[in-house]
Amino acid sequence: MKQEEALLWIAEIFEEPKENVRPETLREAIPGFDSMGVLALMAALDKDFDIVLTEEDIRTIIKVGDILRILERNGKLEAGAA
Amino acid sequence: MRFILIDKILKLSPGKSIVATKTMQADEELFRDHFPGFPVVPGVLLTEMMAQAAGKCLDSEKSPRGRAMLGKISNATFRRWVPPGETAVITAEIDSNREEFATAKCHVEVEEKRVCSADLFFVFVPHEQFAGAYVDEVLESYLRENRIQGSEPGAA
Repeated sequence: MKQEEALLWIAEIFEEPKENVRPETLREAIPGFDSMGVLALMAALDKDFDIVLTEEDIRTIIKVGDILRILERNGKLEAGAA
Repeated sequence: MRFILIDKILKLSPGKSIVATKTMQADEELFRDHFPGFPVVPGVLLTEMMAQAAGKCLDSEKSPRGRAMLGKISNATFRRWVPPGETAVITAEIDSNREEFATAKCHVEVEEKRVCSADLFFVFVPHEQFAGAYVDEVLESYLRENRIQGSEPGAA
């Protein structure tokens, strides 16, 4: 998956316009990235990519780029796209 | 009107799938408004039927993680009208079932025709949040009749 595809996928999870979701976008800047949003992210990672997020992974998510890195680490994002 | 939107469980595999029924009676007050002269079961109630069925499927595991509560509705589609008196057959298949959340694919059929479907997302609320004396009679009677047992709520 390319970075733009991943950003669109993330925007859909948090029900945010895609132009508001960039690698540098902070978690606090996305209203849908609340406790329910975290669970929706976990469910989507599990369903779409078979990635089971750990509590440690969740703690490290400060911005959108951190989600990209999780995808990259699991081989779901082109290397260097995070 | 009580907010019990499942009359009977027909089949249950705890944490995996459920088939249940609900028949809305024509004398329910809501049909005076939905709609005058054209009574049909509101889509929100069909959605709640799916949520309650899937919730019972998850709750039947008797997991200490808590009681399943609807968190998100996706891909809800309503295809046909359901008049009062018709029996809705509700099916829920649990997609993913984790400690923190669960997802379910659900649909409702009337006379073997699909009337609506939705993907539902559940979170879990600790059992202590609810009245201690609360008993889900529909679920418990099915479990008793079919001798299905789980661990007690709160048990590790």
